[in-house]
Amino acid sequence: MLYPDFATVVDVEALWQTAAAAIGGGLGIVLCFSIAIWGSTMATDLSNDGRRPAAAAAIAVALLALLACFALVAIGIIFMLS
Amino acid sequence: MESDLVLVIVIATALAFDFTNGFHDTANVVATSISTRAMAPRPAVAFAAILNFAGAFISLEVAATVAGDVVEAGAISPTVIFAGLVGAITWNLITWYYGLPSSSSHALIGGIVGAALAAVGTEAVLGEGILGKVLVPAIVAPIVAFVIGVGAIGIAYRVVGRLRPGPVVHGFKLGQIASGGLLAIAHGTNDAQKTMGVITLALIAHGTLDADNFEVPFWVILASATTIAAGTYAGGWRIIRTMGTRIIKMDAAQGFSAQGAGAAVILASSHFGYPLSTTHVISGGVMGAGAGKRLSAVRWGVAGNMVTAWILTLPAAAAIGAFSYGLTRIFGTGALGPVVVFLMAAMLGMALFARRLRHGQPVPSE
Repeated sequence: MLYPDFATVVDVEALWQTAAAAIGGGLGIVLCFSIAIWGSTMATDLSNDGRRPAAAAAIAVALLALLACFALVAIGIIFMLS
Repeated sequence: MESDLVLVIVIATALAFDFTNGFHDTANVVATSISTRAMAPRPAVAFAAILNFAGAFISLEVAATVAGDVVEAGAISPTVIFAGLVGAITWNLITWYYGLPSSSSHALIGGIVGAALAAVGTEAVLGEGILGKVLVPAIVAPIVAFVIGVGAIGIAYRVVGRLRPGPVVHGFKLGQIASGGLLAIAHGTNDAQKTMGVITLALIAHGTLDADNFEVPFWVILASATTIAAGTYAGGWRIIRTMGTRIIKMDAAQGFSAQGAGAAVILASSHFGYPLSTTHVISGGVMGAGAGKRLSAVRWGVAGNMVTAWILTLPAAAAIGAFSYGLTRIFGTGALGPVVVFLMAAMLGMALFARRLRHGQPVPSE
């Protein structure tokens, strides 16, 4: 059949799932990585100002954000392999 | 014996297509990293080639779509697939010659559909599969990548916008190495599978594999992965220039956002077996990352030329595929037609390369 009925052949649910996974994953990675950059830059600036506890907190935020980035990538690859 | 020879020619042509696919689509993977100077061209291309190779082993959903949802495998012959491949390769070389980042995937599907229409007629074409798994995702995916690009650059600027630019730029350049790697894996996954699908389709049409219960043989996966990696390493420098600098002038945050958008869309789509155009997707991400900063940052004229090339790809490759099939039939139904057309296409390809190289060296020294 060369001219099929549009509504019956397009799997709208799969398309939505694809779009949702891509938007969630793409924006999530950029958000986490941006927070990681924010944390590491703030840590350097705070450390230069002699505010060690605040710098340590900023480093912790950066590390957590970086971990979240890796987790998102791992989840994405596992999702694709499933 | 003759059909075996045709099968060998089809596999060689499919691998040639795979090479041009890697060659043509290198830009998708490395252009943003190179344009923001996150990576030098040579290491960036080598890095992409290695990850392309690795990505090819991750999934087989797209290969199943190409082998089972585009044309009726039982109704076509390996010669039809050969003619379709010639259509796709020819269109790839034409767009490469003019520096247009068109879609290798749509060229492949267009070429095979055109050849099948010419050989068998409409009954050989699986309209449902093409509409549901190729055409609609082809429209949706770049739009999703655009939306992610706009959102991502908005998030990135909001989070780091007030910080000192030095460490922020350095951070995003490091991030681009990772996001570029992810994009290379995604590209290897989606694009190498198209060649796997075509070779599998040829094996089904030849009768080597059962149409109702086929598996992609491991040697097909290995050959496709190696060839696309080799093509990627050879690089498509002219298209890299278009992708990297002529759509928008990118900063590192935009490059990271565009690559992240592209990788996310391609990986998610590969899971559902959509044979996407990586060119369309990453272009959507690049435009989104540009438009998210300000609309005028996108060179809409260049973007318009690219859209024109996209729209032309399916019908143009289909027409060349149909013409190639007609050409093979001049020499009868045996192996002579594919042999003659294969030699003609090889000579044409080499002439095009030679002419391009004479009119300017496309490979930058660094």
